[in-house]
Amino acid sequence: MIRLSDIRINLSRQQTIRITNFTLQKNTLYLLTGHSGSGKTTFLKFLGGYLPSNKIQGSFSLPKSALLLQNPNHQMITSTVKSELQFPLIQQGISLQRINNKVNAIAEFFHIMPLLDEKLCNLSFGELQTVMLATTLLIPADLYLLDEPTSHLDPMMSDRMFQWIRMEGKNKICSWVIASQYPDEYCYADRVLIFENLSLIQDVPAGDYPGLKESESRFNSHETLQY
Amino acid sequence: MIVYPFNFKINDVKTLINENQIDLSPYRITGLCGPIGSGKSTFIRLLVDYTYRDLKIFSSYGFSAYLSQDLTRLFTGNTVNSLIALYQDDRFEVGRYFQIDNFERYMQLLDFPGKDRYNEYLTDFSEGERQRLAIALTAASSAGTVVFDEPTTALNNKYRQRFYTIVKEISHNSRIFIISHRINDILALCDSIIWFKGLHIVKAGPIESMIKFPELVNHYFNVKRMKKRAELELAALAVQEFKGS
Repeated sequence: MIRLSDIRINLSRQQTIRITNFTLQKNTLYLLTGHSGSGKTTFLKFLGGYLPSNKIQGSFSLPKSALLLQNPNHQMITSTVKSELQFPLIQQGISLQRINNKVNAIAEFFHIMPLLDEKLCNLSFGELQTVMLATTLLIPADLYLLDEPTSHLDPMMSDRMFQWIRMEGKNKICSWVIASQYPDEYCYADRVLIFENLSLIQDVPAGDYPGLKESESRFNSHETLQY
Repeated sequence: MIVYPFNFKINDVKTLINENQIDLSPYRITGLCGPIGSGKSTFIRLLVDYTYRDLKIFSSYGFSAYLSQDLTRLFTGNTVNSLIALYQDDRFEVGRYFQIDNFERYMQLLDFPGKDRYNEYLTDFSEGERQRLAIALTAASSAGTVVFDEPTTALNNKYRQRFYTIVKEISHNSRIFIISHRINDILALCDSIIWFKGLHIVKAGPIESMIKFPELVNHYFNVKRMKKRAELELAALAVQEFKGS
């Protein structure tokens, strides 16, 4: 469990992200939602320890994490699907036999076995996002941070991602924070985090979210589209 | 526009195949649907990339505006102002078509951050902001064919609705192709669908009949998710009713 209290992340002179009070619980799947530009990606990078310390005010300690970037092209390290999947495990010093077992298991789960020998540059955008997602899920971590992981996945593959997370949740103690523009994905989550105007304004159980979503959609339906 | 039967060799092991002639002339907005890696983006490349025109896969070509899935190449090293200058440069084809008035109108509709940020590098903007800018640039290009490849991946519901408004407006003068894994985008906009699977164009037709096509139904309507969501929404409704009483 991690407590964040009165954290300020300075993006520029005018823009500061504020997290007044937030507790990240173990074995919990958080869905992080909010308008574009509201601070979701920066929050994920903060939790992953990817922001320079001189931009952050407040005291905190962060767990070992794995981050999936929004754009899979920005995350490629090796040249083929197989070597990309193997890479984080090789870094851990795991035996080749175990590495191959883990790679084959996740490749089979995400239906990317036929792609194992393909070069990453020959994949479609959706295939590349699936490979990068699988690679991130293979990194041993206490906190998984996934930035819009389903944006280019088809509905079947999105569903498989949440299935994998549920399966993994039974085997190890870790938490998940998933940024998403698709509020309907709250049904997979334990809790929903809502960002607005660079602040974390809500941390609610997923079961309470439909009511909030309802009031939001009522608001949207009344806005005029004349311009 | 007619799509003729073709076999296009993508590489040594992959070939995109269309076995039937598809007449798109009755339609304005066509959704390209299918699983990941089924050939949708390759199909679009055959239409918009000048190097493939000799293959004569389509009955007509013309100036196309294309919003790509990956905006990195367009945005790296650019600011909003430098992109506007590029799109208005009449040494390029786009410069002869680009409508700055429409661009500014779309930017306003999409609530793009103010002009005081137009000289900032686009790497400092969020993915959603960059996607809204790309939509405004593409829509304002007044091209005969406009392609949106996964245009709503970083948009929330509010901006998705506004994107729909823009697409409906430009569809009066342009033929539109939309690739999206979200059925809401397809239902809100398209009058026709081309269904791809395993690098084959399997079926094409008006949305009214395509929406009943079993492969498409199984792909888009995730029964498990819908059931879970319905349970949660019913529970929320019960709580609200209880509080009300």
